[in-house]
Amino acid sequence: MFDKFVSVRIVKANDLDLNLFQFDYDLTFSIFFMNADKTIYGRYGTRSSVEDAERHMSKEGLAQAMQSALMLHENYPGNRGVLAGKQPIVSEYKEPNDYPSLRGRYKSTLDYAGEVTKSCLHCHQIQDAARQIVREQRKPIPEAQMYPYPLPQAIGFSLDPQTRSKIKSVADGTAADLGGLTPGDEVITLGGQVILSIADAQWVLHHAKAAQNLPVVVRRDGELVSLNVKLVEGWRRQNDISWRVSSWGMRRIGTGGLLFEPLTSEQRRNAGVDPDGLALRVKHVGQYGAHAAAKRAGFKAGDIVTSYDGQMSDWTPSQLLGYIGQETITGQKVAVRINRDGQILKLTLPIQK
Amino acid sequence: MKYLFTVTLLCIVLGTLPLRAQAQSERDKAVRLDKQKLSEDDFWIYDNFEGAREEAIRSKKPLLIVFR
Repeated sequence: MFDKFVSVRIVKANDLDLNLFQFDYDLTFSIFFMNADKTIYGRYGTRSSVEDAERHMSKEGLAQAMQSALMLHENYPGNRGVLAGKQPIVSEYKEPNDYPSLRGRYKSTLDYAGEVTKSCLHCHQIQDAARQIVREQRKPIPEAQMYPYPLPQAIGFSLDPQTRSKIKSVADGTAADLGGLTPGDEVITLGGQVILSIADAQWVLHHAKAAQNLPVVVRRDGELVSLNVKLVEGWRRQNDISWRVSSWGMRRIGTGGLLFEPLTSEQRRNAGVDPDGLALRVKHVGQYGAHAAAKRAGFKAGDIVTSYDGQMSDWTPSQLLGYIGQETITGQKVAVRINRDGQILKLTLPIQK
Repeated sequence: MKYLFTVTLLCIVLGTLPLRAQAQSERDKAVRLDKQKLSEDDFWIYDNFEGAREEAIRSKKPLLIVFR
């Protein structure tokens, strides 16, 4: 099927056209299906963990997405209206080098004769640069920027990666469940957009509002069924951002280089910490530079954080990173309460650049 | 004491430099090899979006653009 496409591999973001190529910049693999006039048919490629980069992808799923892209191409430009929602949005920065923190650091071409990897601007740096602007303005990072490209799991359903867009599971009591989505349904459109893959669903969710009704059309038992999923304030926070390369920067900023893991109920009981409160165990303490701020503040691997800046909610590591991005400002000092082998200690972390 | 700290730090930094340089060099080598392989491949267009677009216009085929 590849012979039905003109295939191009892009290896750098140095001169990336940000008014055309808008996708999840934390990904290490991403595909666009596009007309030669730059109209986007769809996207493919996603990720949700550091360890398993391919969990949500498969050859079969890609083949089905490609088949759908070919159908859209066949019917183009008659279907241009249907594709409107898939098109990029005007970006304030035309290319990565326009961002203040990246300006002048990279040439538009790679230095293949020299240190080629060092001459490459990585996609995730675009995300870092965008966040840096907001942090320097001492403003909260907007919800969509803090929790970008949510997986459908954020609203309660997952898609089968072996297929184009078949629903694999729906979690009880979630927006998807209340909206009537059912395992086995094939998502035809989401938010009015034709869905070729999980990445297309993420594009829709990325641009969805903080609270809105999201129309969904599914194929169920051969029939098209129209449904509505109600997104309520805070829905994006269900999206795990801890795996993201761009979260590395948030870790430096707000935890001084600490890497956390949540505690199970049993571990909480054994450690004598609140079963329903904050309980994040320090898995790793950064050792160098700004990533050693927590080490300098006295943190050790194994410490259990039970309060951060006075907050004691039962957060995941992802939700803590979200709090840092949205509720702290550079230069602030944050009080952290920890449990170390049963002993309660109070330490202070600096909120860094 | 300060002298001892400086010497220790220097030893650590200098000791890891060859390892870091080797990893860097291996990554560079892999990128160059990848470029060579794809440039010799009739199927893939390497890092040339405008060239691919021209080919798509000529052939009337859709584009498949891979970021990797």
